[in-house]
Amino acid sequence: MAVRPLPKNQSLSASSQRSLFIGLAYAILLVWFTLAIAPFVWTFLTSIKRPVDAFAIPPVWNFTPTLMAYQQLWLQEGFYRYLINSAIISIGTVTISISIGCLAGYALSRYRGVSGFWILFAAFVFRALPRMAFLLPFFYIAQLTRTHDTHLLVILALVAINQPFTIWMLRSFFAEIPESLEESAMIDGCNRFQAFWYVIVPIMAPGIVTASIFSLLLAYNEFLIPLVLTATQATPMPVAISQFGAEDIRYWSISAAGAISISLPIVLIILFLQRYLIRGLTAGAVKG
Amino acid sequence: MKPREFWPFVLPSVVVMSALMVFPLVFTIYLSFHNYTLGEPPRFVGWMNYARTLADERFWNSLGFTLTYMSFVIPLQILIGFGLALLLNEIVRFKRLLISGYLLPFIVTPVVGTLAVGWLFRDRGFYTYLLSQLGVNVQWYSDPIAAKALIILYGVWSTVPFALMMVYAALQAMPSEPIEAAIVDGATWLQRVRYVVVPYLRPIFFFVAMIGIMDSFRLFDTVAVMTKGGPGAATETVMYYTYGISFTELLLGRGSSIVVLGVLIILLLLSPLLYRTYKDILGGR
Repeated sequence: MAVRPLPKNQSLSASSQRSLFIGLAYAILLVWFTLAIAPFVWTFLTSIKRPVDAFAIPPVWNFTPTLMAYQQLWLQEGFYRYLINSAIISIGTVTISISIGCLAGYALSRYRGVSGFWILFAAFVFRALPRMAFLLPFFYIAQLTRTHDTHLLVILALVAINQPFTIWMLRSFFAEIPESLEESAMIDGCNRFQAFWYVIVPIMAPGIVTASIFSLLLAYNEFLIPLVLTATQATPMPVAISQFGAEDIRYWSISAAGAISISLPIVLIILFLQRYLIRGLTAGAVKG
Repeated sequence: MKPREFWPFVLPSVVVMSALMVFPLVFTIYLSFHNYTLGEPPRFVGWMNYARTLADERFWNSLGFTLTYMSFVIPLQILIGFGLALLLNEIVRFKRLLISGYLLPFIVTPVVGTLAVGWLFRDRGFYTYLLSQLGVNVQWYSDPIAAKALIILYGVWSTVPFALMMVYAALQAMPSEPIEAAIVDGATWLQRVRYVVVPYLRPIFFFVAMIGIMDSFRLFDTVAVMTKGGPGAATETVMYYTYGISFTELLLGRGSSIVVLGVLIILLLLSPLLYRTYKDILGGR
Protein backbone atom coordinates (compact mmCIF):
# COMPACT_ATOMS: atom_id res chain seq x y z
CA MET A 1 0.00 0.00 0.00
CA ALA A 2 2.80 2.35 0.75
CA VAL A 3 4.35 2.21 -2.70
CA ARG A 4 1.33 3.19 -4.71
CA PRO A 5 2.84 4.76 -7.87
CA LEU A 6 0.31 7.48 -8.65
CA PRO A 7 -2.39 9.35 -6.77
CA LYS A 8 -5.76 7.80 -7.44
CA ASN A 9 -7.38 10.64 -9.37
CA GLN A 10 -4.41 11.09 -11.68
CA SER A 11 -4.33 7.41 -12.63
CA LEU A 12 -8.04 7.55 -13.41
CA SER A 13 -7.65 10.47 -15.79
CA ALA A 14 -4.72 8.77 -17.50
CA SER A 15 -6.74 5.61 -18.02
CA SER A 16 -9.76 7.49 -19.35
CA GLN A 17 -7.46 9.35 -21.71
CA ARG A 18 -6.16 5.99 -22.83
CA SER A 19 -9.63 4.60 -23.49
CA LEU A 20 -10.54 7.73 -25.45
CA PHE A 21 -7.43 7.19 -27.56
CA ILE A 22 -8.27 3.53 -28.14
CA GLY A 23 -11.83 4.42 -29.08
CA LEU A 24 -10.56 6.95 -31.60
CA ALA A 25 -8.10 4.39 -32.97
CA TYR A 26 -10.91 1.89 -33.54
CA ALA A 27 -13.05 4.56 -35.22
CA ILE A 28 -10.32 5.49 -37.70
CA LEU A 29 -9.40 1.85 -38.35
CA LEU A 30 -13.06 1.10 -38.98
CA VAL A 31 -13.38 3.97 -41.50
CA TRP A 32 -10.56 2.57 -43.61
CA PHE A 33 -11.94 -0.96 -43.21
CA THR A 34 -15.24 0.29 -44.62
CA LEU A 35 -13.51 2.06 -47.51
CA ALA A 36 -11.51 -1.09 -48.25
CA ILE A 37 -14.44 -3.49 -48.46
CA ALA A 38 -17.26 -1.17 -49.62
CA PRO A 39 -16.57 -1.62 -53.36
CA PHE A 40 -16.80 -5.40 -52.98
CA VAL A 41 -19.94 -5.26 -50.87
CA TRP A 42 -21.53 -2.98 -53.44
CA THR A 43 -20.42 -5.24 -56.30
CA PHE A 44 -21.93 -8.22 -54.50
CA LEU A 45 -25.22 -6.37 -54.04
CA THR A 46 -25.20 -5.41 -57.74
CA SER A 47 -24.62 -9.03 -58.71
CA ILE A 48 -27.80 -10.18 -56.94
CA LYS A 49 -29.98 -7.35 -58.30
CA ARG A 50 -32.00 -7.38 -61.47
CA PRO A 51 -30.30 -5.17 -64.12
CA VAL A 52 -33.03 -2.54 -63.78
CA ASP A 53 -32.36 -2.25 -60.01
CA ALA A 54 -28.60 -2.33 -60.51
CA PHE A 55 -28.44 1.16 -61.98
CA ALA A 56 -31.43 2.73 -60.24
CA ILE A 57 -30.83 6.22 -58.82
CA PRO A 58 -31.32 6.65 -55.90
CA PRO A 59 -30.05 3.14 -55.12
CA VAL A 60 -32.65 0.49 -54.34
CA TRP A 61 -32.14 -1.23 -50.98
CA ASN A 62 -35.39 -3.10 -50.88
CA PHE A 63 -34.96 -5.58 -53.69
CA THR A 64 -35.59 -9.28 -54.09
CA PRO A 65 -32.21 -10.99 -54.48
CA THR A 66 -31.81 -13.08 -57.59
CA LEU A 67 -29.09 -15.38 -58.89
CA MET A 68 -30.10 -14.61 -62.49
CA ALA A 69 -26.80 -12.85 -63.25
CA TYR A 70 -24.75 -15.82 -62.03
CA GLN A 71 -26.87 -18.20 -64.06
CA GLN A 72 -26.47 -16.07 -67.15
CA LEU A 73 -22.71 -15.69 -66.58
CA TRP A 74 -21.90 -19.35 -65.99
CA LEU A 75 -24.43 -21.00 -68.30
CA GLN A 76 -25.24 -18.66 -71.19
CA GLU A 77 -21.92 -16.82 -71.38
CA GLY A 78 -19.90 -19.99 -70.70
CA PHE A 79 -17.70 -18.38 -68.06
CA TYR A 80 -16.48 -21.84 -66.95
CA ARG A 81 -14.22 -21.94 -70.03
CA TYR A 82 -12.30 -18.95 -68.67
CA LEU A 83 -12.16 -20.55 -65.23
CA ILE A 84 -10.59 -23.66 -66.79
CA ASN A 85 -8.06 -21.48 -68.63
CA SER A 86 -7.24 -19.57 -65.44
CA ALA A 87 -6.79 -22.86 -63.57
CA ILE A 88 -4.50 -24.38 -66.22
CA ILE A 89 -2.39 -21.23 -66.43
CA SER A 90 -2.14 -20.72 -62.65
CA ILE A 91 -1.33 -24.32 -61.78
CA GLY A 92 1.18 -24.62 -64.63
CA THR A 93 2.93 -21.42 -63.59
CA VAL A 94 3.12 -22.32 -59.89
CA THR A 95 4.41 -25.84 -60.58
CA ILE A 96 7.22 -24.75 -62.88
CA SER A 97 8.28 -21.59 -61.10
CA ILE A 98 8.31 -23.11 -57.62
CA SER A 99 10.21 -26.26 -58.60
CA ILE A 100 12.99 -24.46 -60.44
CA GLY A 101 12.82 -21.59 -57.93
CA CYS A 102 13.37 -23.89 -54.94
CA LEU A 103 16.49 -25.41 -56.48
CA ALA A 104 17.93 -22.00 -57.32
CA GLY A 105 16.83 -20.32 -54.09
CA TYR A 106 18.45 -23.05 -52.02
CA ALA A 107 21.74 -22.97 -53.90
CA LEU A 108 21.85 -19.16 -53.82
CA SER A 109 21.38 -19.18 -50.05
CA ARG A 110 24.34 -21.54 -49.62
CA TYR A 111 26.85 -20.59 -52.33
CA ARG A 112 29.33 -17.77 -51.63
CA GLY A 113 30.87 -17.48 -55.11
CA VAL A 114 30.78 -14.38 -57.28
CA SER A 115 28.45 -15.91 -59.89
CA GLY A 116 25.77 -16.33 -57.20
CA PHE A 117 26.02 -12.62 -56.52
CA TRP A 118 25.55 -11.71 -60.17
CA ILE A 119 22.60 -14.05 -60.63
CA LEU A 120 20.86 -12.46 -57.64
CA PHE A 121 21.63 -8.94 -58.77
CA ALA A 122 20.50 -9.59 -62.35
CA ALA A 123 17.29 -11.15 -61.04
CA PHE A 124 16.70 -8.06 -58.92
CA VAL A 125 17.10 -5.75 -61.91
CA PHE A 126 14.66 -7.90 -63.92
CA ARG A 127 12.22 -7.81 -61.04
CA ALA A 128 12.27 -4.01 -61.28
CA LEU A 129 11.49 -3.86 -65.00
CA PRO A 130 7.94 -3.59 -66.34
CA ARG A 131 6.39 -6.62 -68.06
CA MET A 132 6.34 -4.70 -71.31
CA ALA A 133 10.17 -4.97 -71.43
CA PHE A 134 9.83 -8.67 -72.27
CA LEU A 135 6.40 -8.88 -73.81
CA LEU A 136 6.92 -7.51 -77.34
CA PRO A 137 9.31 -10.30 -78.41
CA PHE A 138 6.92 -12.87 -76.92
CA PHE A 139 4.21 -11.49 -79.17
CA TYR A 140 6.54 -11.37 -82.18
CA ILE A 141 7.78 -14.95 -81.73
CA ALA A 142 4.26 -16.20 -81.02
CA GLN A 143 3.19 -14.87 -84.40
CA LEU A 144 6.13 -16.53 -86.16
CA THR A 145 5.76 -19.90 -84.45
CA ARG A 146 1.94 -19.85 -84.41
CA THR A 147 1.88 -20.36 -80.64
CA HIS A 148 -0.25 -17.26 -80.03
CA ASP A 149 -3.33 -18.00 -77.88
CA THR A 150 -1.92 -21.18 -76.28
CA HIS A 151 -1.75 -21.92 -72.55
CA LEU A 152 1.91 -22.91 -72.78
CA LEU A 153 2.95 -19.50 -74.11
CA VAL A 154 1.16 -17.65 -71.31
CA ILE A 155 2.63 -20.04 -68.71
CA LEU A 156 6.17 -19.51 -70.03
CA ALA A 157 5.76 -15.73 -69.92
CA LEU A 158 4.38 -15.86 -66.38
CA VAL A 159 7.12 -18.22 -65.16
CA ALA A 160 9.69 -15.75 -66.49
CA ILE A 161 8.03 -12.73 -64.84
CA ASN A 162 7.69 -14.75 -61.62
CA GLN A 163 11.16 -16.19 -61.39
CA PRO A 164 13.19 -13.25 -59.98
CA PHE A 165 10.66 -12.61 -57.20
CA THR A 166 10.37 -16.34 -56.43
CA ILE A 167 14.08 -17.01 -56.10
CA TRP A 168 14.57 -13.93 -53.92
CA MET A 169 11.77 -14.91 -51.58
CA LEU A 170 12.77 -18.59 -51.39
CA ARG A 171 16.42 -17.70 -50.90
CA SER A 172 15.52 -15.57 -47.89
CA PHE A 173 13.54 -18.47 -46.38
CA PHE A 174 16.29 -21.03 -47.07
CA ALA A 175 18.83 -18.70 -45.47
CA GLU A 176 16.93 -19.05 -42.16
CA ILE A 177 17.63 -22.81 -42.07
CA PRO A 178 21.02 -23.55 -40.49
CA GLU A 179 23.56 -25.17 -42.81
CA SER A 180 24.55 -27.64 -40.09
CA LEU A 181 21.37 -29.60 -40.87
CA GLU A 182 22.30 -30.69 -44.36
CA GLU A 183 25.97 -30.91 -43.40
CA SER A 184 25.22 -33.59 -40.83
CA ALA A 185 23.04 -35.39 -43.38
CA MET A 186 25.91 -35.30 -45.83
CA ILE A 187 28.30 -36.67 -43.22
CA ASP A 188 25.80 -39.51 -42.81
CA GLY A 189 26.24 -40.30 -46.52
CA CYS A 190 23.64 -38.20 -48.36
CA ASN A 191 24.77 -36.39 -51.46
CA ARG A 192 23.89 -32.70 -51.80
CA PHE A 193 20.62 -33.29 -53.64
CA GLN A 194 19.47 -35.98 -51.19
CA ALA A 195 20.26 -33.69 -48.27
CA PHE A 196 18.25 -30.94 -49.95
CA TRP A 197 15.32 -33.19 -50.84
CA TYR A 198 14.99 -35.26 -47.65
CA VAL A 199 16.19 -32.82 -44.99
CA ILE A 200 15.74 -29.22 -46.14
CA VAL A 201 12.56 -29.32 -48.26
CA PRO A 202 10.38 -30.81 -45.48
CA ILE A 203 11.53 -28.07 -43.07
CA MET A 204 10.91 -25.49 -45.77
CA ALA A 205 7.26 -26.52 -46.31
CA PRO A 206 5.76 -23.30 -44.83
CA GLY A 207 8.13 -21.18 -46.91
CA ILE A 208 7.27 -23.13 -50.05
CA VAL A 209 3.56 -22.66 -49.32
CA THR A 210 4.14 -18.91 -48.94
CA ALA A 211 6.06 -18.63 -52.20
CA SER A 212 3.43 -20.76 -53.97
CA ILE A 213 0.62 -18.46 -52.82
CA PHE A 214 2.42 -15.42 -54.21
CA SER A 215 3.17 -17.23 -57.44
CA LEU A 216 -0.45 -18.31 -57.67
CA LEU A 217 -1.79 -14.80 -57.03
CA LEU A 218 0.53 -13.35 -59.64
CA ALA A 219 -0.58 -15.84 -62.28
CA TYR A 220 -4.26 -15.74 -61.34
CA ASN A 221 -4.43 -11.93 -61.23
CA GLU A 222 -2.37 -11.22 -64.33
CA PHE A 223 -4.04 -9.12 -67.00
CA LEU A 224 -1.52 -7.60 -69.42
CA ILE A 225 0.32 -10.79 -70.42
CA PRO A 226 -2.78 -12.85 -71.36
CA LEU A 227 -4.36 -9.74 -72.91
CA VAL A 228 -1.47 -9.60 -75.38
CA LEU A 229 -0.79 -13.31 -75.79
CA THR A 230 -4.31 -14.79 -76.01
CA ALA A 231 -7.29 -14.24 -78.28
CA THR A 232 -10.13 -16.70 -77.64
CA GLN A 233 -8.85 -20.18 -76.74
CA ALA A 234 -6.57 -19.54 -73.76
CA THR A 235 -8.24 -16.42 -72.33
CA PRO A 236 -8.27 -16.41 -68.49
CA MET A 237 -10.99 -14.79 -66.34
CA PRO A 238 -9.54 -11.27 -65.80
CA VAL A 239 -9.22 -10.69 -69.55
CA ALA A 240 -12.67 -12.14 -70.21
CA ILE A 241 -14.41 -9.97 -67.64
CA SER A 242 -12.68 -6.80 -68.85
CA GLN A 243 -14.33 -7.38 -72.22
CA PHE A 244 -17.85 -7.66 -70.82
CA GLY A 245 -18.28 -3.91 -71.00
CA ALA A 246 -18.06 -2.07 -67.70
CA GLU A 247 -19.51 1.08 -69.27
CA ASP A 248 -22.71 -0.49 -70.54
CA ILE A 249 -25.04 -0.48 -67.56
CA ARG A 250 -27.14 -3.33 -68.93
CA TYR A 251 -24.19 -5.63 -68.24
CA TRP A 252 -23.48 -4.38 -64.71
CA SER A 253 -25.15 -7.33 -63.00
CA ILE A 254 -23.36 -9.94 -65.11
CA SER A 255 -19.98 -8.22 -64.84
CA ALA A 256 -20.51 -7.89 -61.09
CA ALA A 257 -21.32 -11.60 -60.85
CA GLY A 258 -18.07 -12.28 -62.72
CA ALA A 259 -16.10 -9.97 -60.43
CA ILE A 260 -17.46 -11.71 -57.33
CA SER A 261 -16.77 -15.14 -58.82
CA ILE A 262 -13.14 -14.24 -59.54
CA SER A 263 -12.65 -12.80 -56.03
CA LEU A 264 -13.96 -15.81 -54.12
CA PRO A 265 -10.75 -17.91 -54.18
CA ILE A 266 -8.80 -14.81 -53.11
CA VAL A 267 -11.11 -14.17 -50.18
CA LEU A 268 -10.58 -17.80 -49.13
CA ILE A 269 -6.81 -17.32 -49.30
CA ILE A 270 -7.04 -14.20 -47.11
CA LEU A 271 -9.22 -15.95 -44.56
CA PHE A 272 -7.40 -19.25 -44.29
CA LEU A 273 -3.80 -18.59 -45.35
CA GLN A 274 -3.37 -15.11 -43.87
CA ARG A 275 -0.22 -15.84 -41.89
CA TYR A 276 1.56 -17.14 -45.01
CA LEU A 277 0.51 -14.02 -46.89
CA ILE A 278 1.86 -11.68 -44.24
CA ARG A 279 5.07 -13.66 -43.92
CA GLY A 280 5.62 -13.40 -47.67
CA LEU A 281 4.69 -9.74 -47.87
CA THR A 282 7.25 -8.76 -45.28
CA ALA A 283 9.93 -11.28 -46.25
CA GLY A 284 11.78 -8.95 -48.56
CA ALA A 285 12.01 -5.80 -46.53
CA VAL A 286 12.54 -6.57 -42.89
CA LYS A 287 15.88 -8.11 -43.65
CA GLY A 288 16.78 -5.24 -45.94
CA MET B 1 28.78 -25.18 -51.25
CA LYS B 2 31.17 -25.89 -54.12
CA PRO B 3 30.67 -24.55 -57.69
CA ARG B 4 30.30 -28.15 -58.87
CA GLU B 5 27.23 -28.49 -56.63
CA PHE B 6 25.95 -24.95 -57.21
CA TRP B 7 25.49 -24.97 -60.97
CA PRO B 8 23.14 -27.99 -61.35
CA PHE B 9 20.82 -26.36 -58.81
CA VAL B 10 20.65 -22.91 -60.40
CA LEU B 11 20.84 -24.02 -64.03
CA PRO B 12 17.10 -24.52 -64.71
CA SER B 13 16.29 -21.11 -63.27
CA VAL B 14 19.18 -19.41 -65.07
CA VAL B 15 18.21 -21.02 -68.38
CA VAL B 16 14.59 -19.86 -67.95
CA MET B 17 15.61 -16.31 -67.07
CA SER B 18 18.14 -16.13 -69.93
CA ALA B 19 15.77 -17.52 -72.54
CA LEU B 20 12.62 -15.71 -71.39
CA MET B 21 13.98 -12.44 -70.01
CA VAL B 22 17.52 -11.65 -71.16
CA PHE B 23 16.87 -12.74 -74.74
CA PRO B 24 13.52 -10.87 -75.05
CA LEU B 25 15.09 -7.73 -73.61
CA VAL B 26 17.96 -7.87 -76.12
CA PHE B 27 15.44 -8.61 -78.87
CA THR B 28 13.42 -5.55 -77.84
CA ILE B 29 16.52 -3.39 -78.26
CA TYR B 30 17.07 -4.98 -81.70
CA LEU B 31 13.43 -4.37 -82.69
CA SER B 32 13.63 -0.73 -81.61
CA PHE B 33 16.02 -0.08 -84.51
CA HIS B 34 13.75 -1.78 -87.04
CA ASN B 35 10.40 -1.28 -88.66
CA TYR B 36 8.26 -4.33 -88.46
CA THR B 37 4.83 -5.12 -89.82
CA LEU B 38 3.28 -8.57 -89.34
CA GLY B 39 4.36 -11.08 -91.97
CA GLU B 40 7.37 -9.14 -93.29
CA PRO B 41 11.00 -9.31 -92.17
CA PRO B 42 12.14 -6.39 -89.95
CA ARG B 43 13.72 -3.49 -91.86
CA PHE B 44 16.61 -1.53 -90.30
CA VAL B 45 15.74 2.15 -89.78
CA GLY B 46 18.46 3.41 -87.42
CA TRP B 47 17.29 5.89 -84.76
CA MET B 48 14.04 6.73 -86.54
CA ASN B 49 11.75 5.02 -84.01
CA TYR B 50 13.41 6.91 -81.17
CA ALA B 51 13.09 10.18 -83.06
CA ARG B 52 9.38 9.54 -83.68
CA THR B 53 8.78 8.62 -80.04
CA LEU B 54 10.62 11.62 -78.66
CA ALA B 55 8.71 13.89 -81.03
CA ASP B 56 5.35 12.43 -80.02
CA GLU B 57 3.36 14.58 -77.63
CA ARG B 58 1.54 11.47 -76.38
CA PHE B 59 4.83 10.02 -75.11
CA TRP B 60 5.62 13.08 -72.98
CA ASN B 61 2.02 13.30 -71.85
CA SER B 62 2.02 9.66 -70.71
CA LEU B 63 5.35 10.11 -68.93
CA GLY B 64 3.95 13.22 -67.26
CA PHE B 65 0.89 11.40 -65.96
CA THR B 66 2.96 8.42 -64.77
CA LEU B 67 5.21 10.75 -62.76
CA THR B 68 2.22 12.70 -61.42
CA TYR B 69 0.61 9.43 -60.34
CA MET B 70 3.80 8.41 -58.53
CA SER B 71 4.22 11.71 -56.75
CA PHE B 72 0.70 11.55 -55.34
CA VAL B 73 0.27 7.85 -54.67
CA ILE B 74 3.58 7.06 -52.96
CA PRO B 75 3.52 9.78 -50.25
CA LEU B 76 -0.19 9.22 -49.56
CA GLN B 77 0.27 5.45 -49.43
CA ILE B 78 3.11 5.75 -46.92
CA LEU B 79 1.39 8.40 -44.80
CA ILE B 80 -1.96 6.58 -44.54
CA GLY B 81 -0.36 3.14 -44.19
CA PHE B 82 1.94 4.41 -41.44
CA GLY B 83 -0.92 6.07 -39.55
CA LEU B 84 -3.13 3.00 -39.72
CA ALA B 85 -0.27 0.69 -38.71
CA LEU B 86 0.46 2.84 -35.62
CA LEU B 87 -3.18 2.60 -34.55
CA LEU B 88 -3.39 -1.12 -35.37
CA ASN B 89 -0.36 -1.65 -33.17
CA GLU B 90 -2.16 -0.06 -30.19
CA ILE B 91 -5.30 -2.17 -30.21
CA VAL B 92 -5.87 -5.78 -29.17
CA ARG B 93 -9.25 -7.01 -30.37
CA PHE B 94 -10.60 -7.56 -33.92
CA LYS B 95 -7.11 -7.35 -35.42
CA ARG B 96 -7.47 -10.39 -37.65
CA LEU B 97 -10.78 -9.20 -39.04
CA LEU B 98 -9.44 -5.70 -39.73
CA ILE B 99 -6.33 -7.07 -41.44
CA SER B 100 -8.46 -9.37 -43.61
CA GLY B 101 -10.42 -6.37 -44.86
CA TYR B 102 -7.29 -4.28 -45.38
CA LEU B 103 -5.60 -6.99 -47.45
CA LEU B 104 -8.51 -7.33 -49.86
CA PRO B 105 -7.84 -4.30 -52.14
CA PHE B 106 -4.18 -5.22 -52.35
CA ILE B 107 -4.37 -8.86 -53.35
CA VAL B 108 -7.66 -9.02 -55.22
CA THR B 109 -7.33 -9.27 -59.02
CA PRO B 110 -6.55 -5.68 -60.11
CA VAL B 111 -9.09 -5.89 -62.93
CA VAL B 112 -11.78 -6.83 -60.42
CA GLY B 113 -10.78 -4.13 -57.93
CA THR B 114 -10.77 -1.58 -60.71
CA LEU B 115 -14.22 -2.63 -61.90
CA ALA B 116 -15.62 -2.58 -58.36
CA VAL B 117 -14.27 0.90 -57.55
CA GLY B 118 -14.96 2.12 -61.07
CA TRP B 119 -18.67 1.31 -60.86
CA LEU B 120 -19.05 3.39 -57.68
CA PHE B 121 -17.79 6.46 -59.55
CA ARG B 122 -19.82 6.00 -62.76
CA ASP B 123 -22.50 8.60 -63.50
CA ARG B 124 -25.06 6.25 -61.95
CA GLY B 125 -22.65 4.88 -59.35
CA PHE B 126 -23.17 4.89 -55.59
CA TYR B 127 -20.32 7.26 -54.65
CA THR B 128 -21.28 9.70 -57.40
CA TYR B 129 -24.80 9.62 -55.99
CA LEU B 130 -23.57 10.14 -52.39
CA LEU B 131 -21.41 13.07 -53.47
CA SER B 132 -24.27 14.64 -55.39
CA GLN B 133 -26.40 14.43 -52.21
CA LEU B 134 -23.64 16.47 -50.53
CA GLY B 135 -23.85 18.97 -53.38
CA VAL B 136 -20.65 17.81 -55.10
CA ASN B 137 -21.29 16.98 -58.74
CA VAL B 138 -18.31 15.42 -60.50
CA GLN B 139 -18.27 13.62 -63.83
CA TRP B 140 -15.38 11.33 -63.04
CA TYR B 141 -15.01 9.86 -66.52
CA SER B 142 -15.46 12.89 -68.76
CA ASP B 143 -13.52 15.56 -66.87
CA PRO B 144 -9.75 15.13 -67.48
CA ILE B 145 -8.70 16.32 -63.99
CA ALA B 146 -11.33 14.18 -62.27
CA ALA B 147 -10.33 11.14 -64.34
CA LYS B 148 -6.70 11.59 -63.29
CA ALA B 149 -7.82 11.97 -59.68
CA LEU B 150 -9.87 8.80 -59.98
CA ILE B 151 -6.88 6.76 -61.17
CA ILE B 152 -4.78 8.23 -58.34
CA LEU B 153 -7.51 7.49 -55.75
CA TYR B 154 -7.61 3.90 -56.94
CA GLY B 155 -3.81 3.76 -56.68
CA VAL B 156 -3.88 4.94 -53.06
CA TRP B 157 -6.74 2.61 -52.15
CA SER B 158 -4.99 -0.44 -53.59
CA THR B 159 -1.46 0.23 -52.31
CA VAL B 160 -2.09 1.45 -48.74
CA PRO B 161 -2.37 -2.19 -47.52
CA PHE B 162 1.20 -2.92 -48.63
CA ALA B 163 2.64 0.06 -46.70
CA LEU B 164 0.36 -0.77 -43.77
CA MET B 165 1.48 -4.39 -43.51
CA MET B 166 5.17 -3.54 -43.93
CA VAL B 167 5.09 -0.88 -41.23
CA TYR B 168 2.93 -3.02 -38.94
CA ALA B 169 5.32 -5.98 -39.23
CA ALA B 170 8.26 -3.69 -38.47
CA LEU B 171 6.45 -2.23 -35.43
CA GLN B 172 5.78 -5.73 -34.13
CA ALA B 173 9.45 -6.57 -34.48
CA MET B 174 10.61 -3.30 -32.92
CA PRO B 175 12.56 -3.71 -29.66
CA SER B 176 10.65 -2.23 -26.71
CA GLU B 177 13.62 -0.71 -24.83
CA PRO B 178 13.86 2.61 -26.74
CA ILE B 179 10.12 3.20 -26.30
CA GLU B 180 10.29 2.38 -22.58
CA ALA B 181 13.26 4.69 -22.16
CA ALA B 182 11.32 7.48 -23.88
CA ILE B 183 8.34 6.87 -21.56
CA VAL B 184 10.60 7.10 -18.52
CA ASP B 185 11.93 10.38 -19.90
CA GLY B 186 8.33 11.64 -20.01
CA ALA B 187 7.89 11.73 -23.78
CA THR B 188 4.28 12.03 -25.01
CA TRP B 189 2.89 9.56 -27.53
CA LEU B 190 3.47 11.95 -30.42
CA GLN B 191 7.02 12.65 -29.32
CA ARG B 192 7.75 8.92 -29.10
CA VAL B 193 6.41 8.45 -32.62
CA ARG B 194 8.37 11.39 -33.98
CA TYR B 195 11.74 10.72 -32.32
CA VAL B 196 11.82 6.95 -31.80
CA VAL B 197 9.46 5.18 -34.20
CA VAL B 198 9.93 7.23 -37.38
CA PRO B 199 13.74 6.99 -37.42
CA TYR B 200 13.46 3.25 -36.76
CA LEU B 201 11.08 2.85 -39.72
CA ARG B 202 13.11 4.87 -42.22
CA PRO B 203 14.43 1.80 -44.13
CA ILE B 204 10.87 0.48 -44.42
CA PHE B 205 9.64 3.79 -45.87
CA PHE B 206 12.50 3.71 -48.35
CA PHE B 207 11.68 0.17 -49.41
CA VAL B 208 7.95 0.87 -49.78
CA ALA B 209 8.71 3.99 -51.84
CA MET B 210 11.00 2.04 -54.16
CA ILE B 211 8.45 -0.74 -54.69
CA GLY B 212 5.94 2.07 -55.24
CA ILE B 213 8.07 3.50 -58.06
CA MET B 214 8.34 0.05 -59.68
CA ASP B 215 4.60 -0.56 -59.48
CA SER B 216 3.61 2.95 -60.55
CA PHE B 217 5.72 2.65 -63.65
CA ARG B 218 3.94 -0.63 -64.48
CA LEU B 219 0.51 0.95 -64.16
CA PHE B 220 -1.62 -0.54 -66.92
CA ASP B 221 -4.58 -2.63 -65.68
CA THR B 222 -6.37 0.21 -63.90
CA VAL B 223 -6.11 2.55 -66.87
CA ALA B 224 -7.06 -0.11 -69.41
CA VAL B 225 -10.18 -1.12 -67.48
CA MET B 226 -11.29 2.18 -65.95
CA THR B 227 -10.67 4.99 -68.41
CA LYS B 228 -8.94 3.44 -71.46
CA GLY B 229 -6.51 6.35 -71.24
CA GLY B 230 -9.30 8.90 -71.63
CA PRO B 231 -10.86 11.34 -71.75
CA GLY B 232 -8.66 12.16 -74.73
CA ALA B 233 -5.24 11.00 -73.55
CA ALA B 234 -5.56 12.46 -70.04
CA THR B 235 -4.92 9.21 -68.15
CA GLU B 236 -2.50 7.50 -70.53
CA THR B 237 0.47 6.00 -68.68
CA VAL B 238 3.75 5.03 -70.33
CA MET B 239 2.69 1.37 -70.34
CA TYR B 240 -0.74 2.12 -71.73
CA TYR B 241 0.82 4.25 -74.47
CA THR B 242 3.32 1.47 -75.27
CA TYR B 243 0.45 -1.00 -75.47
CA GLY B 244 -1.51 1.24 -77.85
CA ILE B 245 1.42 1.79 -80.20
CA SER B 246 2.56 -1.86 -80.14
CA PHE B 247 -0.66 -3.85 -80.18
CA THR B 248 -3.40 -1.51 -81.38
CA GLU B 249 -1.42 0.27 -84.07
CA LEU B 250 0.86 -2.81 -84.41
CA LEU B 251 4.03 -0.73 -84.65
CA LEU B 252 6.31 -3.12 -82.77
CA GLY B 253 9.46 -1.17 -83.65
CA ARG B 254 8.08 2.11 -82.31
CA GLY B 255 6.70 0.26 -79.27
CA SER B 256 10.13 -1.24 -78.60
CA SER B 257 11.74 2.18 -78.64
CA ILE B 258 9.30 3.36 -75.96
CA VAL B 259 10.08 0.22 -73.92
CA VAL B 260 13.83 0.87 -74.12
CA LEU B 261 13.38 4.49 -73.05
CA GLY B 262 11.06 3.32 -70.27
CA VAL B 263 13.62 0.80 -69.01
CA LEU B 264 16.28 3.52 -68.88
CA ILE B 265 13.96 5.85 -66.97
CA ILE B 266 12.93 3.22 -64.40
CA LEU B 267 16.53 2.12 -63.83
CA LEU B 268 17.45 5.75 -63.22
CA LEU B 269 14.58 6.25 -60.77
CA LEU B 270 15.46 3.04 -58.93
CA SER B 271 19.22 3.55 -58.88
CA PRO B 272 19.26 4.20 -55.08
CA LEU B 273 17.58 0.84 -54.49
CA LEU B 274 19.77 -0.99 -57.00
CA TYR B 275 22.87 0.46 -55.37
CA ARG B 276 21.71 -0.49 -51.88
CA THR B 277 20.80 -4.02 -52.99
CA TYR B 278 24.18 -4.37 -54.68
CA LYS B 279 25.90 -3.51 -51.42
CA ASP B 280 23.54 -5.65 -49.32
CA ILE B 281 24.16 -8.85 -51.28
CA LEU B 282 27.86 -8.08 -51.34
CA GLY B 283 27.82 -7.54 -47.57
CA GLY B 284 25.58 -10.50 -46.80
CA ARG B 285 27.77 -13.02 -48.56
